[in-house]
Amino acid sequence: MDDVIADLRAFLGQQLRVANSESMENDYPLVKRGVLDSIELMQVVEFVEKKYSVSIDDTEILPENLGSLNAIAALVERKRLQRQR
Amino acid sequence: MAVSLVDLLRRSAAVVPTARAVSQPGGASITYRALESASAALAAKLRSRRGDRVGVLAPKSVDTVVALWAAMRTGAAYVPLDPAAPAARVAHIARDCGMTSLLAAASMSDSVAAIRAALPDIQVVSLDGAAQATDDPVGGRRLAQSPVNVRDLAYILYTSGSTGVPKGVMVSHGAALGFVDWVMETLDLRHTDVLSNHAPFHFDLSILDLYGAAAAGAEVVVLDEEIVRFPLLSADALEQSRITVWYSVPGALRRMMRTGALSGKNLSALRAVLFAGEVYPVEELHALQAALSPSVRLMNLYGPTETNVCTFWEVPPAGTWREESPPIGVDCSSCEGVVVDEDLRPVPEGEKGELLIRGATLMTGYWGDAERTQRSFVRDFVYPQLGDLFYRTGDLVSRDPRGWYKFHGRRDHMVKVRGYRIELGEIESALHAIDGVREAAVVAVQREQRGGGEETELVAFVALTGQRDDDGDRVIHAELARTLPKYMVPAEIRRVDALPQTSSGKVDRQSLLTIARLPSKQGEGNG
Repeated sequence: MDDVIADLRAFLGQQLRVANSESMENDYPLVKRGVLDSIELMQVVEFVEKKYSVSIDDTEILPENLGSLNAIAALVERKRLQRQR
Repeated sequence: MAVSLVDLLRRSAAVVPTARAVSQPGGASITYRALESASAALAAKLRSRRGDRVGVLAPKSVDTVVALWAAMRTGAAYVPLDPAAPAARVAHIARDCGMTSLLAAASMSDSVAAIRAALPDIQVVSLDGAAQATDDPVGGRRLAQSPVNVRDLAYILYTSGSTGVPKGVMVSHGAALGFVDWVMETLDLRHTDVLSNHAPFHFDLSILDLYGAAAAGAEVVVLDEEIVRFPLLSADALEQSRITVWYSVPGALRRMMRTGALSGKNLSALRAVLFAGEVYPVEELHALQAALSPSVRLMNLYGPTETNVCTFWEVPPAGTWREESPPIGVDCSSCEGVVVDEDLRPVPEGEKGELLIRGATLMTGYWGDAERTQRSFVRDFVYPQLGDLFYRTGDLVSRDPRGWYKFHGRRDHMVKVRGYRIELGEIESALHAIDGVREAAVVAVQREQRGGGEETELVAFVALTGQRDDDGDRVIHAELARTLPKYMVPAEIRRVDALPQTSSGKVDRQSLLTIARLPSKQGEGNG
């Protein structure tokens, strides 16, 4: 989980230019608070898919899977486990 | 007859008191009677008077809508602030318009602190829970009598300004009512209608939803920042709130289509889908039309904030139209357009020229900028005896034999990103203000997105005075993010030794566009 969160922080900071990406709480509501807009949200999905070789279905693009650093990291963990089976 | 937007609320509170006025999907809602009394109760707390400016700073909710009405009830104009904008920007706007009061959510404490620092005397009132407030009957009665004239300002919407600071577009109650009349007539709104509110309140699209609903005694469903950003949640709201009239930027509809969010939804209540703010790609518009019932009216609305919607194109039935790009259509009944050349002479049919607009919905002017206001209007030469003004849109259009306007782009460097209009000059000014930046130019390019379709992205070209380490771009980005809203911060910064120039010594934007379309070296390997 921690490695994914570190990758996400780096992506948010460097690619999406989120100012407080390093200091932000893991459960900070990224979308609700307007940190990510709708297009950046898709860029996060694309980043996660490429970086961890997982596939995220359109039906999974929901706040519970993408609404915070914790949520995204948990989604990646689940996807990795699914792949191992 | 209504002389102010507040009269629309008063009338609906009298005619359909128990009807739902505002709601959030699966959440809070308020009736017209309760909205009338809650807005009066909140207004009674405000020091502001007729002619003042009241800021509203909060994420979208029923409470926030109550705050907009409360501000107008005092006779003041409301100034909606973007809750996602940097604190420095909202503080600039607050100071620029000389806000007397601010209605804010507790969650906005950073921005509120910045506004207090800029305006130490400002009155700050919490809007949290405003919808629950019950009436102060004395205050309510007193406020109901507060005189408002059609020429008084209803709201000021700040948009990107080419000189480096945002500019405030002042809209009177009369202009807003002129637009609402057209909305009522064209959409035949009834008290049984349910309108979506997709746009943020600082965006002019919200005017149709909020005040069209109030005029009809209909319900407006406020879609918050999270629902708007997740296509599946937007589609759920469309179905479950039984929305009859949907209005958004094309991007919102395109994302719902692209992610399959609309498939399998019961949209039997839906009767009209309106979009505005940018061009709807024509193949995608055909696909949207095919996905909806043939009885659903599809309409492309056009108009800068300064005129509100002034032309519209009702998409003809599927299979009967072959436009290469959606036209912006015909004049609204509230406005009249004329296409002119550079000497302001009307051009023949089919020829390109600048679109000028006269009519009931024109803005009053730019806040605190008489010079810019004067430049943006020209005397009405069609009916000079009326002494009216034309607004110069800066948009290049032509008119075809059917009387349909077609949009051909801008005369200047304004672009649209995610439906927001952006003056590239404002971003360039912000870049120039950064220490070590010698030259800077920004261009807008179309880029492919995940799942197909293109979106506009901004690319900045920057030449520095000295050497900078690799962290330089980060510093530039951080500086921009401190003063500009996110949609104005370029997706990419490219360093150049010098900007290319045309033979006349101007920045060669055409070359920059060509370079910007090539993939950057930086982007590779990321992800």
